[in-house]
Amino acid sequence: MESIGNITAGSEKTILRTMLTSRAFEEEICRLNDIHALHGTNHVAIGQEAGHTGLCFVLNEDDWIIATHRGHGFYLARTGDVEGMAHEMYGTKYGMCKGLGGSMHFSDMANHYICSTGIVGAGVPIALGAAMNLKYFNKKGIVAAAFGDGASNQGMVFESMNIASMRGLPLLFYCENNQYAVSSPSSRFIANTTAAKRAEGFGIASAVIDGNDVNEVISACLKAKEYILKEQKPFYMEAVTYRYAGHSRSDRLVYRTKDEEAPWREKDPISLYEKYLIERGVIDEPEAQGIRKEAFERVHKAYLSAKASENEHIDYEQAVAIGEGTWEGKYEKLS
Amino acid sequence: MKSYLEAINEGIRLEMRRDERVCVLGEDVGVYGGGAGATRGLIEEFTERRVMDMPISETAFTGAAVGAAMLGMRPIVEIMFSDFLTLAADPLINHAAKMPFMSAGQTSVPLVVMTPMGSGTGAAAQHSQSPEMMFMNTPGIKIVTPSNPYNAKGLMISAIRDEGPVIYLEHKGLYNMKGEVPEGEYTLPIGKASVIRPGEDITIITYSAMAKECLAAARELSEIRISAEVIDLMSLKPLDEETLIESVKKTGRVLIVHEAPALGGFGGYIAGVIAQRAFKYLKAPIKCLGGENIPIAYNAVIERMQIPGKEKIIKTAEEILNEEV
Repeated sequence: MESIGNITAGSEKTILRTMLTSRAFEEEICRLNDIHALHGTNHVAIGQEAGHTGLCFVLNEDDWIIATHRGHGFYLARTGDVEGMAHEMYGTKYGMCKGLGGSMHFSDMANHYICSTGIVGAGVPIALGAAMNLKYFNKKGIVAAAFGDGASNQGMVFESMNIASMRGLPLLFYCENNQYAVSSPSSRFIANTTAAKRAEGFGIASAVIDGNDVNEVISACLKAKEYILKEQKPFYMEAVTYRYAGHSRSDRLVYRTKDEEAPWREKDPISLYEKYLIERGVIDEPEAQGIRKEAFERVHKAYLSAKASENEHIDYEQAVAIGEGTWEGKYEKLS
Repeated sequence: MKSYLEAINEGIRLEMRRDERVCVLGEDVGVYGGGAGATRGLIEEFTERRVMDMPISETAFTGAAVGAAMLGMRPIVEIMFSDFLTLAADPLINHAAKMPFMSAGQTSVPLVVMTPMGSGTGAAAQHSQSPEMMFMNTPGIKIVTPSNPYNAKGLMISAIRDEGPVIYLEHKGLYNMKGEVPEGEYTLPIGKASVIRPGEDITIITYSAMAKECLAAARELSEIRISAEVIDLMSLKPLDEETLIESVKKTGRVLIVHEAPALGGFGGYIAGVIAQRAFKYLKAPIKCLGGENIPIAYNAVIERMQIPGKEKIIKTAEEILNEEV
């Protein structure tokens, strides 16, 4: 791992903490799935923590992000709202979407997390519009559209690449290539090229990076952001990573082998980063353990709170009023 | 006197002058003035910044309008023919309609999708459909169907000011229709129907271009002493049930007329509402007249025959008058 300039030790610990919290949050989801404690499906990004943590580290308050159905980590890294997520997973009225959205539809407009969308690829045109908005009102900032290798085959993604390039929009196409679209390997389903190379065809500059190396993600995203703002042009990033778990909770992983998974676990993004920080003396092993424990405890506290409120759902009348557009109340957060 | 097309254009223009957040995007909406001419002259007044020509990428630019709306713009998307709404279906159905709900009201999508619907121009099956029912069953989307120059302007202004996504279905058979259009801004409430001709014997419920046919039929019916009340829905969703029920209570007889195929058409739903809310007032079975259950033909004779017209409306109204429950 190569170090990057201007990042303080404090920031480095925050980065590690975010990755560990994301991991702990989703490992708990897997456990809850196994005991059928959660209603509905969900998609975890275990193994991809460097990708969402690194990108969100680079985004500041002027920037916006839209992510995918596999979006817990992006949401966490952008907002830090572990409690809102845990409650949303349980469908309580204290979830950030009051239990109306669920795992695939997180949203926090106040913190510039536009939404996660469950329609693969469809977040990209929405992000295109967000970028149009920034340019229209001459606002600072960029929009990051996170999507996967599977989404990179959607026509609307190509359409958006064309329009973003043509109109010079401040949009970062952030493709997380986690190797699989459900069971379809990107090596076979992206014909003749890589996702990023397609950007060239639209006149969009691109980079392929190691999505498991958070330092590389951060430095590449910083460069991309600088380019977007300076040149007023979009940029396309392909972060190569690996999805440890199946597509969703019903996936039996019949399409790949343990042998294939092993080398990826060797380059686990969190282990790599911990090792990097320890080697450089930023933290020692006991401190690493402390951060791990802290992340785990925070997540568990949030889940316990959500579990305790399991039956506190939004009033039916309020849900209908929100759906009909007649609700005028304020967003209610758990104190 | 202004044409329907000019009225639409004026509605957009006035709102663009009033509110900087309003912009137009779509194919050929700039110098070309839009497929039908609805955006003519806007780019000259408001520049390319606010009148954005888009490539033929309905999914992406409609999705972009949704994203722009969520962040505070008030975009008007033109879809060149309403048949192409299929290409914009995902951003409209899965995003514009659902985002306010899924986010528990954190965001709204103040978006207008304007698009020409309907037959009668020889544009054939892929450029002539009446698409309203494809979106009626999607909660979160409003649908308006202006039927004359006056309501075309008022409904456009209301649609732009509405906080939710509104599909504005203009009928291409009406573009040249002339009528009185007041100067300046005015709105018409979305969700309110209009009794466009009062009557006592039968209620004819209709919308869009069929309003014109129904009025013509009502005039002829009056010559044979049948007094028909004609209701123009103007908004399909929300539906103004009260105006319908009030009329049915008075007349006890109902004919519903629309251009979209009767099978799966709005008439079935309206008949259901009346049956549930005013059954005991009915003096005869409700009848629905809709288009034939086939795509729109190119041949002018077949095209005309497959859509309800004045003669068929008169004949069906007479049948209803001669029936008893």
